[in-house]
Amino acid sequence: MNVSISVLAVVVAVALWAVGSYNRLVRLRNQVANGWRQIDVQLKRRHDLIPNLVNAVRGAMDFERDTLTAVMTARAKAQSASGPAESARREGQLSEAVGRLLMVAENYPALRSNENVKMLQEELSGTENKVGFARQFYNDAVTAFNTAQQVFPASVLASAAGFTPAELFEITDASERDVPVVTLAPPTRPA
Amino acid sequence: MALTDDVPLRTDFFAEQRRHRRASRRLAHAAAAAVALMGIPVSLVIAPLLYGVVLIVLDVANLLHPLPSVTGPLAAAAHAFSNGELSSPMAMTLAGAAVIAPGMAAIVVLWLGVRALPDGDGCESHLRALAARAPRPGDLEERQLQNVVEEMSVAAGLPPPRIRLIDSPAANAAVFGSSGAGATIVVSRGLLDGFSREDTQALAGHLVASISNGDLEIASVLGSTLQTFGLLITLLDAPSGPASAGRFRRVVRIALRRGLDDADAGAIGDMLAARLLLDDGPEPVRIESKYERLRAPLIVASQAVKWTLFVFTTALVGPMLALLWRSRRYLADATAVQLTRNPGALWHALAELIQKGGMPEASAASSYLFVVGPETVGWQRPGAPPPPRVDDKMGTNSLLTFHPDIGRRLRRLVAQGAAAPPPEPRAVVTPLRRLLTGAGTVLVWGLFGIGMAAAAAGMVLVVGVSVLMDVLVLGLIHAFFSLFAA
Repeated sequence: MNVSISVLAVVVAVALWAVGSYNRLVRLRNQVANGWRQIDVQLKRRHDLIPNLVNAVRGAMDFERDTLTAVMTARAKAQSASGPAESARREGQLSEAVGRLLMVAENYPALRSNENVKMLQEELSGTENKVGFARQFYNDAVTAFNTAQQVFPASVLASAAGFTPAELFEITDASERDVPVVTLAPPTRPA
Repeated sequence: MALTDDVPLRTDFFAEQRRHRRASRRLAHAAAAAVALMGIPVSLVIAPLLYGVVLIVLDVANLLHPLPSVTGPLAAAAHAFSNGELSSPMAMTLAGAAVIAPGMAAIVVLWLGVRALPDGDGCESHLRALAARAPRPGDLEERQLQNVVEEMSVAAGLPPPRIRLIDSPAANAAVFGSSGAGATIVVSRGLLDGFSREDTQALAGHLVASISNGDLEIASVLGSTLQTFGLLITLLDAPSGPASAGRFRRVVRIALRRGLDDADAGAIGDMLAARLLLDDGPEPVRIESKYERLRAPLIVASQAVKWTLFVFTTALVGPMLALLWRSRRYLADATAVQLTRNPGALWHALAELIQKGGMPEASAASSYLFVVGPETVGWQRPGAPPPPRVDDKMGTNSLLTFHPDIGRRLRRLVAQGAAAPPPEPRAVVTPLRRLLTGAGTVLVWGLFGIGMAAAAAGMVLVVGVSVLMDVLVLGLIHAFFSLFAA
C-alpha cells in the first residue's frame, strides 16, 4: 500500500516535471521566433530608410559616388540574404557602408547643418540601435532556449520531443566587429 | 535585506536582479500582511455601523410587517459568550469572524469600487497636472527621444509606450499608467536639452525596465489600497461635513458617468493627492439639534479610522511600502543595465541628475514615479546650489523616502561594471563623533518609539470609544423602535 503510494507519487512528480519542462521549452522557442520577427521588422525599416538618406545627400556629395553606390549595393545584398548567419554577415557589411557614408557626410558643412539630413541621420542611428537591440533580445532568447535544452535532465526530454538548438545572430568576420560610428551626437561629454 | 547590507564590490546584472526581485517579493508579502493587520481595527470600527444599518432596516420593516425578533437570539448568544459558556475555540473563531468579517468585506467592496473608477490609477490626472504634451513631429530632440524609447522597448521585447513631454527646465523623467499596456513615459524638456543621447537612453532604459518588471501594476495596487481608506474616511465624514459630502458626490458622479473631463480629473487628482486625507484638517462639526447628535458615532468612527491609519502608515505600512519601492528602483536600474549593456551610461546620467535634475512643477503627488526624487535633486528650487554628494547615512535613506540614496545607487552600478572616478575621500569619523551620532540615533528612535506607542494607545482608546458609542446609540434607537412597535 505504502509502496504503491510512493511509486504513484514519483510517477506524478516526474509527469509534472515533464509537462513543466516541455511548456517552458515551447515558451522559449516562441520567444526566439518572436525575437527573430523583431529583427526582421527593424531590418526592413532600415532597408526602407537608406534610399531616403542616399537621396538626401546625393546632391551635395555627388563626387562621392563610390560611397553611395557601396551603400546601395550592400542594401540590395542584405535584402536578399536568408537565415541568421548570412543575414548577420550582410547586415554587418551594410552597417559598415552606412557608417562610412555618414562619416564622409561629416566633411560637408552644407549637409551637417541641414535639418532634413540631421533628422535622417537620427532615424538611421535609431534604426541601427534598434537592429542591435533586437539582435541582443534575439540572442538572449536563443541562449536561454539552447541552455534549457542542453542542461541535464531536460536534455533527455528536449531531444525526445525533437527540440533543436536555435542559431545565434552573430557577426563572424573580425573586421565587422568594429562598430561603425553613426551618431552625430552633440559634443561628447567631458571625461 | 537591501537596506542594511553593504554594496558588493563586483556583481552582474542578473545576480543584482535576482537579489532585488527576492527582496521586493518578501517586502510585498510583508506589506500585504501589514495592510491586513491595519484592516482589523478599521473593521472593528465599521462593523457596528454596518450591523446598525441592518438593525435599523429590520426595525423599520418590523413596524410595517412584524418580523420574528432577531435581537433575542443574538442577545442570548452574547450573554452566553460573556458568561464563558461558549469558550470553545470554534465559538471564539466564529465570534471573531462576526466582528471582523463585515468590515473586511466592506473594505474589499470599496477597494473593488476604487479599482473600477475611470482613471483610478490617476495617470490622466497626473499628466494633466504636469501639463504634459505630445512630442512635436519636426523637433530633432523629441524625435530622438522617441527613437531612444523605442530602442529600449525593442531591447525589452515590449510594445513601445506612449511618450509625453513637460516643458520644464528641471531634468527628470517618469513613467505613468496602471499596467504595461497603457504605460506613458514622461520626460522633461530640460532632460532632452541637457543630456546626451547615451544618457537619455540609459534613463529611458530605467523607465522601460520599470514597465517590464511590473512596477506599474504594483504602484496601481498600492495606490488603490491607500485610496480605499481615503474613500472610507470620506464616506464616514460625508453626513457631517460639506467638503467630504461634496467629494463623495463627485466620486459617485464620476463612477456613474464613466467619462472624464478636466474637472473630474482634478477631483480624482485631489483624492489621490490627499491620499489618506489626513492633511485635510478636521471638518467643522455642526451639531445643531438633538437629532443631529445621532451623527456623533459617525464622527467618532471617522476619527478612530483616521487615527488607526495614522499609526499604521507611520510605523508600519508606510516604511514597508517605501522599502519595497526603493527595492524596485534598484531592480529597474539592474534591468536597465541588462537592456543597454551600458552600466556606465546610467551611472553618468544619474550622476548628472544630482547636478541638473529637479522636480517639475505639480509633480509632488507623483514624485515616486520619477527616476530621481526630491530627496536627490534640489527640492524644486531653481537656481539653488547643487546638493552635496549624498551617501547612505540616516536621513537620505530615511523611513519614508521612495527613492534610494543616490550614492548607493551609483555604487551598485559601479559593482555592475560602470567605470567611475575614484571615490571621494570620506570624512574622518572620530570616536567621539561616532558616539554622538550613535547617541543621536538612539535618541531619535527612542522618541519615535515613545511617540508611536502613545499614538497606538490613543488608537486603541478611540477605537474602543467608537465601538462603545455605536453600541449605545444603536441600543437607544432599537429601544425607541421597540417602544414604538409596542
